[in-house]
Amino acid sequence: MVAEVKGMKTWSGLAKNRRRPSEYEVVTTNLQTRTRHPDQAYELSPAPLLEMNAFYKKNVSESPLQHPDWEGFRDPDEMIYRVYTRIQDQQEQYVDGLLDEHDELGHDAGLSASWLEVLERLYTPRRYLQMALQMGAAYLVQIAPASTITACAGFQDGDEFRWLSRIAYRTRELQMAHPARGFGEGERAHWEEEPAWQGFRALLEKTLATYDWGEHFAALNLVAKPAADEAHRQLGRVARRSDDGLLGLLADNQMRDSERSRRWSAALVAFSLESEGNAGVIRGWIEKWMPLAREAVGAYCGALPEQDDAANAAIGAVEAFHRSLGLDA
Amino acid sequence: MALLEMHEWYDLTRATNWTPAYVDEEALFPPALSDPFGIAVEQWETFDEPYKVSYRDYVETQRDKDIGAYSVKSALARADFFKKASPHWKALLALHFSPIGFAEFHSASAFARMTRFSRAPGMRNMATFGTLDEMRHGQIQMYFAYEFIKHDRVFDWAHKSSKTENWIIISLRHALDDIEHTRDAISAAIMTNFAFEQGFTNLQFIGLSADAAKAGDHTFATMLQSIQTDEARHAQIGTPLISIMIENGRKAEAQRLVDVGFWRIWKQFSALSGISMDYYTPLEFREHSLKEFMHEWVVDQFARNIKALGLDLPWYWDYFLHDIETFHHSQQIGVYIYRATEWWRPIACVSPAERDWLEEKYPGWNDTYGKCWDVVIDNIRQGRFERTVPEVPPLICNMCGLEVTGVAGTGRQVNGRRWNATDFHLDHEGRRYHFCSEPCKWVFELEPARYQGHRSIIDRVLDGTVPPGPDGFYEYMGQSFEERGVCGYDYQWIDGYDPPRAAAAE
Amino acid sequence: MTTEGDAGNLVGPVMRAGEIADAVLEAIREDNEGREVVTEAHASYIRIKVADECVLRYETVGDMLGRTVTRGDIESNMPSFAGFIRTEPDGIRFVAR
Repeated sequence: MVAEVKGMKTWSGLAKNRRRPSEYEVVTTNLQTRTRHPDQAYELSPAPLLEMNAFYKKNVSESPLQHPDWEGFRDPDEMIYRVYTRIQDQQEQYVDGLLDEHDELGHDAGLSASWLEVLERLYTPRRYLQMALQMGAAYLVQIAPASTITACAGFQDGDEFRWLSRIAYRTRELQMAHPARGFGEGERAHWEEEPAWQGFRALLEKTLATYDWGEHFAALNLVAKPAADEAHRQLGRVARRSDDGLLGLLADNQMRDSERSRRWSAALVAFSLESEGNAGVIRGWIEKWMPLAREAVGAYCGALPEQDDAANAAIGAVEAFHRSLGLDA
Repeated sequence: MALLEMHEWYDLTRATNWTPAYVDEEALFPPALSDPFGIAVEQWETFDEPYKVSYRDYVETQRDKDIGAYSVKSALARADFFKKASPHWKALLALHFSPIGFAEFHSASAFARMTRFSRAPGMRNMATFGTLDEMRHGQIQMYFAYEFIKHDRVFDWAHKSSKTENWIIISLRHALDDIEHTRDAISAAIMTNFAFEQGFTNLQFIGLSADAAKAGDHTFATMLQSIQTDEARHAQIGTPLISIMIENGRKAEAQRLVDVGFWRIWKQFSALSGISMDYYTPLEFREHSLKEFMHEWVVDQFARNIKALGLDLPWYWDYFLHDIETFHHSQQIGVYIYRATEWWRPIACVSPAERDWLEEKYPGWNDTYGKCWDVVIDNIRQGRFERTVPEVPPLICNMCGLEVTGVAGTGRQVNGRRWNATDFHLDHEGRRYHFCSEPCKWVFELEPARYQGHRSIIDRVLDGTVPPGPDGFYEYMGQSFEERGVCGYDYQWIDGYDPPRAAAAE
Repeated sequence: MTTEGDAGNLVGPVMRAGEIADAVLEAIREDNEGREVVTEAHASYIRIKVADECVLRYETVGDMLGRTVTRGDIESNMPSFAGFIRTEPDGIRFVAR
């Protein structure tokens, strides 16, 4: 005889849902500890005694973006780790195939001098932009007030590093094919000095220095990242016309990750709209950050060759994303 | 294949530092979050990941790991194993899954702090994998815990414990929030990746897997080791940091981070792994004692790394060696007698055969801890069950949140019993703080502001935070009547002490 | 029972018991020829140790198994190691410092 053991149907925390919880909900919900007390996100001295508790209080508990139950947020993709690695392994296999195939065709040797100059100035320095996007996603991971938001941001963090890595890979390939050019050496200078990048550099540096969790989310995921990725889409379009089919295909693949980010970001906006006042707050942030994005996209896309309105196309796509968020009163 | 090898292009992935122009360097990397040690960025750029992995390689390897870890046995076979498992093994699984799932997921945030605020590019890359790894560890453990919930509601605590004010969860959060979540990226990485992950996780995730393999719980054994293959990789973030700190005249600071992190995490593992290995694991499946595993993984393997890096063993090392043999035995007594304050079904695990094993592994156990258990056993035999449960709350350490204990049967005689429990206390800004040990007190004294405003569960009873009344305490801790621990063997474990009764029943 | 530093400078992988572990042991014996390879078997894992430095080459492990072995195959089966690790293009080196 041992003590009587009783079972339950599901986690008590999910029992109120009528629907049977998905694997995603079972393994992703309620894993956050830092939203229990506004003054004491962390189990140590409360704010203001402990600096980090004061930091969390200021940037989350007192953020203009408020919801009584952030834990209720759900990722529309229901992405979980073991699915993420499977999907991204498939995508990376596909990219390996592209790189291998183009290498065999002598792709890089056939690129024109004028296009190589574009790649040097406007493509390979993007690894710095990717680093900034990665750091931004990482901030969301540590500050988000629910584990379901942390999970989305964590995968986004991984995605940014994915493309940072692929750009580094392409940089080395281009350097090997064209050793006389500045590939692999000049990227930092281009990122820091080339006028075409300065808009994005300003946008990202300012986004990274924005610590309010809601504003950081809006600046990064609703403005900076969509703008940076749409500008990259335009680079891919121009690449196709410049006989760089490989970059076109890589950019397409990168957009898959970018679109997943937009799906969960839109869902988080929709979720936050359940609480009154948030629509105006988010709209205000978008209005605040869009001028920087317009400038960034304008400077970057304006530097693309034969760009026939790339800037308007990129900004148009970001604005279309904003219109889809249901923020208009 | 004409693909480039990783080493041909990887260096470019860590040439990613730039000088900000549109915001101040301090706005982008606030010292309190990034680097309070004032080490030059060029120095951080020398960070060389000892264990290099590309994203491409990462997703493939991790996909394969999960295919392996999730499919050791069918769900049906796992359910069947669980239903037949003894109260010993069920207590062990509950003790493992309840706090660890959320704690690991939470760690994703600690790694994200490193990615965001470290000025070492290679560290940012490794930490990105760390964030993903910890999400994996949270999710895979939630998955396997969830399978048991149909059979045993105890496992609900894998999901709910993160936000409860149960004293054990408070103790865990206090330790993890202290070392992982409330410091700058460099300090947190040295404490988490080096002192915690390199130091202790092997104990629970490899040592315990040996017990699990012997017990036939292959799913648990495989899951534990699979998780640890990620830890073995991302825990390497700590070592280059310590070298950079020492090279830049910050050895004393690095030493202190290791000493604090190591002590704080030892207390958690002492209770978690100590009780799991020396008590909850059925006798026939025990690979080694906690003490033996500690010597294998920590006193040997990890201590060598501390010294090889140019640091010293923590100043409390001799006391720590003593603590390895004592602390968890006291905690096991407390966990059993205060069982109603825990959500699982604690078991005593001191049958005559188990006592022989404990005496063999810890000579003198019978004369010390055994004497305490004799009192418990005698009360159960006399049917005085109420006397197996203490009426007064224990004294709780204001640092580790665990019971202030000592070595039973030794020391001063108090009310007819010997117990050398020493309350290390400190009067600070108008109140008295109690500690279980000199190192716990020392940690507090290093940074009082960090700790002084935190109230232990007992402080909360005394200051009225916990509602009064017989149920107030349990409700505060999130425990409904059904969620209060009872003896997992319904006291029948003492049958081994009562051969006449057993004979009479035949 | 050990005291700190008892195992001196022995370094090397801790492998999950199984065919990869067996192949790793064989490969380490080959790639560290002339040096003593110490093993310590536990219920679910095996420690493989060599003094000061232990070299593990993926190709040699592959030879033992008759198939290609990658870094990932080793990582998936290596929950820990003694000493410090250095990943290299064709294998892993474990060093005492």
